[in-house]
Amino acid sequence: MQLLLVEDDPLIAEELTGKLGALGHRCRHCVTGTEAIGAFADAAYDAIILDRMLPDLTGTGLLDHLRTQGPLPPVLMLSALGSSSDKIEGLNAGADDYLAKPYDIGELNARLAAIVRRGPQVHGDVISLSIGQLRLDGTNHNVRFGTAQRHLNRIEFSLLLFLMRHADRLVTRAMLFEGVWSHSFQPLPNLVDSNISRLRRRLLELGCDPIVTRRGEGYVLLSEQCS
Amino acid sequence: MLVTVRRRESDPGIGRLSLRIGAAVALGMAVAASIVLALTSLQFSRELDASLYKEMGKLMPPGAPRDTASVADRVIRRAASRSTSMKIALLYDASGRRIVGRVDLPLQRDGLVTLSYRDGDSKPKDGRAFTIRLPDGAHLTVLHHDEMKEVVRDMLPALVLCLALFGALMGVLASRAMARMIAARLALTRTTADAIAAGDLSQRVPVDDREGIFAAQAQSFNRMIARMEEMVEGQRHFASHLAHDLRTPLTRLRALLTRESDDPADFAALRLAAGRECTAIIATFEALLRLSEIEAGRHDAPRTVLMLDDLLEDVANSMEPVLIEAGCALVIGPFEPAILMGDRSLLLQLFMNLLDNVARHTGPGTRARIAMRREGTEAVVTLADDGPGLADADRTRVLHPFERGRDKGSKRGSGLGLAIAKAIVGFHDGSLRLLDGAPGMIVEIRFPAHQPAPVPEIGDLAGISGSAERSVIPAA
Repeated sequence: MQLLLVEDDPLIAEELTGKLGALGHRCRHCVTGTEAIGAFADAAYDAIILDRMLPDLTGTGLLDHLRTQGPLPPVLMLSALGSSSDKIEGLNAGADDYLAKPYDIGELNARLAAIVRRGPQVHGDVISLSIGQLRLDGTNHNVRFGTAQRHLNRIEFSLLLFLMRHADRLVTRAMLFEGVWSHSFQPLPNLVDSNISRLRRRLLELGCDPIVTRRGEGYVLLSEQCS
Repeated sequence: MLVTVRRRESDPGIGRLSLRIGAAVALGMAVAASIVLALTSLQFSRELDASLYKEMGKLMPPGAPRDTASVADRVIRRAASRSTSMKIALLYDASGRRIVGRVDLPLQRDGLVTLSYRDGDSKPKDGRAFTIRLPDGAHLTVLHHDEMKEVVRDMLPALVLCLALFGALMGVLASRAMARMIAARLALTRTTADAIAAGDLSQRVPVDDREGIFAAQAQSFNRMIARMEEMVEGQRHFASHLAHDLRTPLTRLRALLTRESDDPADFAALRLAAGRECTAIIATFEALLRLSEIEAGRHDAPRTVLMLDDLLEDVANSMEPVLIEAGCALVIGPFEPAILMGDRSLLLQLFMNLLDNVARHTGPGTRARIAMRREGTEAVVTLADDGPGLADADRTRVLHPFERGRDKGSKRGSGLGLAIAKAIVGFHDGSLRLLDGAPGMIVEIRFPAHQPAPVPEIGDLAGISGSAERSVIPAA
């Protein structure tokens, strides 16, 4: 991926550039908002990683400015401001995702992948979603695999829906927690794992086991396992 | 001497206020004097008119002849019968010429007239005259000297001036005396406030119940200081506990960072351990941030209408596998329908923290039940477990920040979980109590809530926790 990194802290920027490089991304680093405006005009980027506080501009102010120059690639905002209202503010300002410092590089990479590969927005009432033989019905919260089917509670349903929407992509525990429960507080240590284990047992009862654990990273729902 | 001078400099006094009060009193006195004199004068002139009518009645008795000659005769006889009188009768013929009477006064119009006349001497006099027309065209006038009007005119300036001066003096003196009284009272408050500003929060303003509003003000001030002292004490407690709580993981982190190892596997383990210590420190800060955010009333979403029963069901369903993995069992419900104005994220965190406490601190084999009933206008959520419970003293203590139950070290949490829970309940105008479950413990939370109106069931896609607006999964 071609990334534009706007971060004024040299240590953080150096670490990020190195690690993102190791993950196979090319990273253009800018220290100030003005520099970022120049870099944005020079080349096309797959995503922007943006610090909330810059020496000359605020992150949100920079986004407003860039938006006048043309279509904006997905934006991941980084910030030391980690309160829930700060996150809401960042998301309202046009960021596609928000990550509070300190963050894990794996988390950052998974979220980058999620926002960049985000396809066209899903519109309208989604009644059901299917991948291969796995079908999730929104009207009665039932999951069906082949001919077998069973009812899921709201939590199980929401977890599976999130995983199916992100099929074949890494989903971190934090992403799942934010998607299913809340983005306002830190997830409890075992909550996501315990609930995923239960969901896997439910699916196994139907003869389907598409959810794979990526150790230390998160989960992936493999579409090939649904056929 | 120095003390006196300093006191004078620092004592602002009431300044020009006393002069203003004096001026106001003086003006009031002057106006009052004018009004009294005007009213007296009015009353006197009414009596004067009555006397004029009476005199006219005597000169023109009913049935007596009313021709000029007869009237002139009665006038002369009546004047002769009295040596001195304030009342003078004058008779004019049809052409308006005065034919009887000693005062040189031209003919007045009929009825009552206020006038000025000369009675022999050069000084003009004030008077009232009453004139009637006789049948043969002649006129009879009765004139009365109005002494009171002259008295009022002579006295008014002196009287008003005296009263104004006296009023001004009294006003200034009274306001100064009152200012001294208030200053003495304020000085007490000020001394206390200065001592408090200098850091001595144990100071209180002396209260004398006989002092009315001053006593009420002093009591209110003292209540404020008591609350402040409590808060400052809480913050001191908070800061010292925070320092202590961070010192432990930081010390361990430093120990890990200074340890040397050439074995890559050993080094990786060290790095993992250091990472865990960092996570613990960050978690403490996250919890602190969250706590201050809730206590300051600053939070992400405005309150929305929530179905508390749905929310509890979702929390219970989410936490059930966590409890099962910890070797505990969770009985879910019953939940009576209840609507609450609240913040969904905060309430999720509240109930998740409480259930997580059961999983982490009660030990395997514990059975817990989460249920909710409505009592009048309240929703009462109870979380009961049959675990080891807490001693009476500990149940109050653990609700304060950084206070923990008597766990083994490995299960140490941030020590802020219950403080956050209490803050979230407070945010929703509710109350939280820890009760003895005998055995185990009961957490009882009361929220103001009401019963939902019956609505037809809507099939909601991904509808977590009855929040109508929010789909669980972002639509992408």
